[in-house]
Amino acid sequence: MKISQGTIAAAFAGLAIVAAIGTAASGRASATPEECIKIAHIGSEDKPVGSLRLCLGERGKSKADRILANEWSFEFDAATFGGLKGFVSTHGERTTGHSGTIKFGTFLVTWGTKSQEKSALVGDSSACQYLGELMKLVPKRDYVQFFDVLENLTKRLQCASSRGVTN
Amino acid sequence: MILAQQQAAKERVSTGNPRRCASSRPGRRCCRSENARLGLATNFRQVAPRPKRWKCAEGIREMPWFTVKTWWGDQTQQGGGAGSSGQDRSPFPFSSRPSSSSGSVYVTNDNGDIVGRVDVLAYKGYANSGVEIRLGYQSAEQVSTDLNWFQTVDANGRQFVDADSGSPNGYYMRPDTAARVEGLNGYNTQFYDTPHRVDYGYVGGNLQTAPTPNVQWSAETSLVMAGRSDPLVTFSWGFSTNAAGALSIQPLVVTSPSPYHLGAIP
Repeated sequence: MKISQGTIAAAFAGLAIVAAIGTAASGRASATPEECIKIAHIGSEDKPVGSLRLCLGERGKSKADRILANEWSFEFDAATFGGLKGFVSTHGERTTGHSGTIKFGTFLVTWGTKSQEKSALVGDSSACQYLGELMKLVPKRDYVQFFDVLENLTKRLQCASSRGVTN
Repeated sequence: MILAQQQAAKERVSTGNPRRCASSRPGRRCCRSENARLGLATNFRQVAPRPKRWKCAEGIREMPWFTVKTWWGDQTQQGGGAGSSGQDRSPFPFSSRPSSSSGSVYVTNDNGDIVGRVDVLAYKGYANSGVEIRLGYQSAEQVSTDLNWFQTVDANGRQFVDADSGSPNGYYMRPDTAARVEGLNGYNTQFYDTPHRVDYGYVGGNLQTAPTPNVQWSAETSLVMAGRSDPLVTFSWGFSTNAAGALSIQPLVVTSPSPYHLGAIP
């Protein structure tokens, strides 16, 4: 489907969709205390898939921001958060020339500081793999809730049944 | 068709299967007899006039009077409790209103006794490509531990049970989610959904969105008690988009569950 300019909606409040994707660091990245990574589902859905907010902070701390919408916040120690930041900054779609439709399993990932926020799309075909890789970067023993939420997220995306990728 | 459903609902209310009383579990109370049946709320039009006082015995907090807003007529009731405004006297269906709608539905048993109340906390367009719905149920019996929701969907002809992963028997919420939701904002349980169909693409280098055209999405959503096959109340709702992607929101109404929906309830 071609996108009509006239039908563009003010969709998904709070999601600042940025087209210009900056360069990314590789490997483990440094993080400042106020930094957070937002992974928000923005694709079509029947039931809310959910969103994650990953921040530098207290190891293992978690909070359900909106339990009904499956929106969660997690805090990580510096080393773990650096690994996550390194991953998100090197993965995802950054080519602004892409056209066409992106549907059900699409996430918008944003990171960086407010003044230098960067973003990338995680498309429908790669979302399951992406979430699985995130789980590999986090020690389960310290982040049980994180694993539980991500496993639920992958199930909501039907990763196991139809996409064949789970962690 | 509608008349037939209404007739079926009446018959169901009058001849429904006896239900095990909620008070059979420890720590619970039950209005009326141990075998009181909980009927569909399709008879709540009869309840719209000033509701009866709760018949439960000691310890049951009486709900405040509040404005009853229905979608088929002006039946606003003036009350004295907190939150009663009496301002919204719109005779129109929820879907006819341009923005968020709210209202309440009493859930009654076959004897017309109110056993709870469903508040429509939100029913409105979502991302211009779907609908957001939020319901809250407050029981008169303070029974909540086994409350859940059950939803079936027809999306462009594809029917399915819309359940959370890991939810036993296809209930909408997993047990841990249901437990977290319990008591939230004073409700025994809540229902929340944001179905939508949206397309994305880049226009002039900017990522933008548009509603998917030609979508027909409708749901039946029931408030259920775990282990019981007859719902306390069932709503139908949904949305559609036309060929140009323009969104229409289906009326949110109390309905008699379809055979598919009823048959899918565990």
